[in-house]
Amino acid sequence: MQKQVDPKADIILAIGMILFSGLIYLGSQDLPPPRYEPMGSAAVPQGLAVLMALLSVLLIFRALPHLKTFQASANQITDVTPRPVLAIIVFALTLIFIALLDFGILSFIPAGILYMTAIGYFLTHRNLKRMPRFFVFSVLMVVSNYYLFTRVFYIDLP
Amino acid sequence: MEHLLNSFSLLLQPLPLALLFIGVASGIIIGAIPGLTATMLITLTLPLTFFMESVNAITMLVGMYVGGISGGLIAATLLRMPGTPASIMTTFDGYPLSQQGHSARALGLGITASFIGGLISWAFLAVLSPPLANLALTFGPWEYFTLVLMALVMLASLSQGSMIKALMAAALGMMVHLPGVDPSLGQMRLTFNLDNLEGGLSLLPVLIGAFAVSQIFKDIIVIDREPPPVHLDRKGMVLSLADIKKYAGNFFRSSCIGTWVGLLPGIGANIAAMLSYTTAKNVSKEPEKFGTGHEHGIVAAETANNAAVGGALIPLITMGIPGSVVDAILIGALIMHNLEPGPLLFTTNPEIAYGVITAYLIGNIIMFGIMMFSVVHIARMLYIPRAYLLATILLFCIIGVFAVANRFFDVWIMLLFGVIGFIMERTKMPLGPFVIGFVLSPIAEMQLRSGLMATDGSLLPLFTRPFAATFFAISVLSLLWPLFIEWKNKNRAGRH
Repeated sequence: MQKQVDPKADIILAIGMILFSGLIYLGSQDLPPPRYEPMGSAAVPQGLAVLMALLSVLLIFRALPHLKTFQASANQITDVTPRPVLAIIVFALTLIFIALLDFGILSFIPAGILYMTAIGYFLTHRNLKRMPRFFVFSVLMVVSNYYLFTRVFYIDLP
Repeated sequence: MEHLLNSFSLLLQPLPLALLFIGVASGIIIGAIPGLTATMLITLTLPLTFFMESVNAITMLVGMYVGGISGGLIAATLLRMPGTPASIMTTFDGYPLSQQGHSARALGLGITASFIGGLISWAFLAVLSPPLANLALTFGPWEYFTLVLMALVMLASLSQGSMIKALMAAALGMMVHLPGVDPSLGQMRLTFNLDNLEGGLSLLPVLIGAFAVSQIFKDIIVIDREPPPVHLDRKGMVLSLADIKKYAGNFFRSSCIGTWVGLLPGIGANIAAMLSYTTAKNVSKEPEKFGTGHEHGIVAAETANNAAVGGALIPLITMGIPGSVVDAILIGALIMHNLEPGPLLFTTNPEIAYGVITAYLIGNIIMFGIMMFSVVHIARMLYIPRAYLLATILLFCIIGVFAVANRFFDVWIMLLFGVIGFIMERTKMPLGPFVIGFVLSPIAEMQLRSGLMATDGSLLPLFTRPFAATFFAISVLSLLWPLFIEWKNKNRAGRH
């Protein structure tokens, strides 16, 4: 059976989509009117924005009646403990890694080794005993990928 | 026929054959590991195909498609964890049969069914594609526009869960493709004064973000989930001739269902397996046995999901319309290689069109060989430590996306779509319509605008041109049918 979605999440999703539709609609208002053909450049963005907003409103109407009756299945028995914080940490490390490369603070090889080792540290639940092996693995992966892309495919990595 | 034979001789050369082998083998391995899918593998491989000849690249991707769908049955049978969504139905009977001590038999049935499904579906692909491509050559903008509309609406109405969310996902995919140059007039739009947006959002960052990155974060959340140990030997894996005869009817019926469902634009192998399994149960004299390790259940599900791959390739090479999400990515691959998906492919690049057909057949044969001889070893891949796997894939996502255009803007976009894809998954907004909307959006807009230009703004051809009217009618029916069913169910519930 499919897990029910919290109606609050549906409402937040719908509001987000309405805001996005508004952005698209407003962004296409400055486009020139049609000259050589009946539709012009703004018609499709505006049409899709209106459609998205309508669907979002419909989703809100469908979710509202379930707001009071919905019971979160947080205490449902699962086979493993979910680790959302771990995902957030890896996401943050990824942001830092990309920023280091994008702003030219570190080059690919040192940044990549640091990044993979750090991810490994957290994904192995901070088990220091497994770190030497993960570090060697990181070095091999980063260096081999670097040479594959720069020497075989002739693509410069930062 | 001549083109087909040429294609065989081309693909049986060492390099294309080796790439096809690599494609199928990697597809099987990735398909076997729960959480990693053929879609993810193909998306991640796209950047590497830039450096290959188009035929070789497409051949390898088709191999991955075949392998990825087939590999899903290993985890589904041994662990009740579908390796890919297409093998969900295989868990119903494959796992119970495996638990009864017949793992090899369950796997043998699944592998043989996948192979036969692929062969029958290949026959349809080879026979139907050239005439369908000829027919599609007569299509004008209205036919193409309504075909795209039909693909999106059918996909939304057949998606599991809320149809509203599926339609929202399709609309979102189309909207994401809007920034950049307007495909009809060359007018810049929705760039919000950002230079990087002038070229629009590229296919790869969006796809890799939505499919691969979001999946990695999903997998990290349940990283402690470890597959239980299984014992497996190959004894009893090879089916006898009597077995083949016993299941011949099921093989053929499920192949036809799989091919037909695959042929419908936008609908993939998971729906095919579901429909085929339900049909097998409905026509069975012992329906109560389904779900308890019944061999017919495995045959129905695995034959259909593989046949759907061949079926889905038909609209892809004949009309440039994706039969499933993976096909949408294959369309993207064709576009990246400066090839125009659609009926003209048969005349302008017959080596590609027939190459897809031939690669599908050879890929199935390779898949059968690999699976039969090394399924015991492949099953060990299920136990690769997740930390190593996820870290490697994440690094590869970043390098792959950066390598396409050597700009970090794409990497940031990938990360953004990773978050969007994750939120979509969490809120049960399907990713399939999103990707198909993204890929088909420019085609739909261009065809609609060309049609309107030709008719001075009149929408009448939607009703007067036979094919366009049919596709339009199917779209409207697909939209209304689920609403009608819901209304009927509510009325029935009210009466009780």
